[in-house]
Amino acid sequence: MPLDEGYYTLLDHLFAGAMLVDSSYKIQHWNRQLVQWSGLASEDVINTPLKAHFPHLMQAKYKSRFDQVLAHGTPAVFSAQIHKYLIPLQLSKGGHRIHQSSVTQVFIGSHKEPLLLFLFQDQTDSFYRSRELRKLNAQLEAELEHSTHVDLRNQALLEAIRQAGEAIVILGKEGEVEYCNRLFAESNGYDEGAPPDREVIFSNFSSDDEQWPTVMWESVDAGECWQGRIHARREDSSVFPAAITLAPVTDVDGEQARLIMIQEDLTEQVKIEEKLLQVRKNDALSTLVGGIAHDFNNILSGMIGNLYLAKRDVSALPKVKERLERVESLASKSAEMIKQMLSFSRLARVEKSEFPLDSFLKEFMKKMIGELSNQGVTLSYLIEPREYLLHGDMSQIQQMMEHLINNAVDAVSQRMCGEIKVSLSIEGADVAEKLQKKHRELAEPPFIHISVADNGCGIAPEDLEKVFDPFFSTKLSHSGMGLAAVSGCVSSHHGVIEVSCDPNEEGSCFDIWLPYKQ
Amino acid sequence: MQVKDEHIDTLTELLNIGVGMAAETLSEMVDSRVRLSVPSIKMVKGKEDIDAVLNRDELLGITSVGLQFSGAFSGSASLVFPPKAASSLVATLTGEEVGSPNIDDLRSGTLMEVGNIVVNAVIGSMGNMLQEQLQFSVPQYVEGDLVDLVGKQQADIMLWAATRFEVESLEIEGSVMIFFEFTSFDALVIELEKLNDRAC
Repeated sequence: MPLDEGYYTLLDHLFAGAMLVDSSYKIQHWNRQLVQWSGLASEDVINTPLKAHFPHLMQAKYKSRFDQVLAHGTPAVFSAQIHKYLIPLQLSKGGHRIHQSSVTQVFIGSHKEPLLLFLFQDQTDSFYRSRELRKLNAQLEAELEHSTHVDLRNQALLEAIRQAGEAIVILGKEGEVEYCNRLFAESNGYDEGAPPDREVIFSNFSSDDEQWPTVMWESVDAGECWQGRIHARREDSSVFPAAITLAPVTDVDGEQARLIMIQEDLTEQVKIEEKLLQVRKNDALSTLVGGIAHDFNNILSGMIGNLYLAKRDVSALPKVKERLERVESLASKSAEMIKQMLSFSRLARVEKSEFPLDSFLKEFMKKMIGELSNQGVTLSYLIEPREYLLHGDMSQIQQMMEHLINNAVDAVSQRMCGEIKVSLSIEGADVAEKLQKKHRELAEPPFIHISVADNGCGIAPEDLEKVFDPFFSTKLSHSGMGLAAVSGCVSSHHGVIEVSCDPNEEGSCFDIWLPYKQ
Repeated sequence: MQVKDEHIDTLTELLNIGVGMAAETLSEMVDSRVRLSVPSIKMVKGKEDIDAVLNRDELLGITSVGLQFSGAFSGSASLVFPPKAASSLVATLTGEEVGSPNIDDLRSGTLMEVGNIVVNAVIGSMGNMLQEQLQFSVPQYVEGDLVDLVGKQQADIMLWAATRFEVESLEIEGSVMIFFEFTSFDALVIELEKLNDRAC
């Protein structure tokens, strides 16, 4: 076999298209693979000019590179990505094979001049497979991104539910507890990570209406939302009022898939409701008491005037005059009681002015200490040294302090060593903030704090809420208007009053906070 | 053998002739004006200094097309693109948008051909001017760190030529790096001396 034939046979066995072109651009070999791919028989191609079959290859953009390969021996590559194909090679199903071509300089057998070896590597499958893979990859990436987005959103939702200001429980289709959030676990005394069974949760709920569980489950089974007020018992057996909403949640097919329970702690709301009720009651009483006191005060003024005239008329009758004086004394006491009633109903005449409360209290306390010195009661006071400017009615403040100290004196009367301590201070910001949360009617801090504490008999817990009610008294000889008048006076000065009685300690303590005049 | 400034100047000129030819070929291929220039070249000697250059941040994660040559002087030549420049160049040459998923499909083939054109032109023109016949390997396309790419080659001298591409007002920086063994570089210097003598 001639040498050239040996090379050509070798090229025929390649699984790639191979073409040899000489320096005059005549085709010297056209391998079997090219015959198959192009449909051109080798005898129709060999020894014919390249230009005759592929005229475009004579364009400068191709030929200059072929020339370079011939001149310098540097191989040239024509990528499938830029050219798709260098020469048209058909596919059996139609269309052209996408191929990468390389052109290298070779010296073969009898040829003295260098030849150009064109190698065409079919990349059709890998080109389309790569494109398909790219498409699939893009789809996968989009799905992954969507899934990540959904995951992040679910995590955010779950975290929002976990940190929600409402106690939330999610029940599964079979009623099993799937999830309870932090607030539910904390307020009901459960472990957030291991919520109890549904039976345990619901057995700790009770209501005055014994039928509530039946009504609740019937509503939920009917696909309706149930709402009601219950008493919830914590693990430590303490009970708090709560509003429960139990709502069915449907899946995409509209089937009931889960139940969501929202529990709202009503402790604060109940307190506010009770306070509101108390305010309304006091308002009604205030109107009633104020009306009666006003009318009675007018009548009493007439009675006292007439008593004065009658006393003058009977100056010659000492017995009658003495009786009239006794009536006059009783009328004065009645007038005092009327004053208290008017003070409670805030109908008393108020004449406010700015005055230093510390100087006023100091003088008042000195006077009271003197008066109580022979009653076996130790009265002391402590005034934090600073300025206490109050915009108020001095006369009312004096009456208020008198009532509080008289009340304390009554409380310690059974004690061997009765002690009453009065203090005056300005409230710090931390306490002021708590007070404002509790008493929204309070203006901006700072607040003047007056405290009257005794070591007396104290107040029964059930009476604590009632001590400021008018006509409430645990002693038969008392009118029950003293503390009501104190409460009225504090309200007239836009302040608040609280009473506390620690069962572990003796006595009680009245705390008054009044706005500081800045 | 001592390398003089005039040798470097001659090499710079040879490289510029080579990239000029490459620019012409690329312009014809993409039917758009492509300009290529090599403003200066640097010579780096010794394995340690070469490694220091190859470990520069801008040469990590690069795209490179290289081929090996042998003959009167031997070594390898690579055209190196930082990743961003590579994507911009592919987008410009193919008309695809940067960021398009098709860019990845087109990337290897396009850069291989561009690299092939530039490196062939540079080394071919060097061989031609120095009147030396060289043998070449087929070009290789590699993505990765250049230090891994050329680290295995026992190069003693590296010529590092910053190359500037201008395609339709887009400027892209790349580098042509040519690695030689000492003995091979000595042969190159001798050829450069001969060329200078001929010029005189």
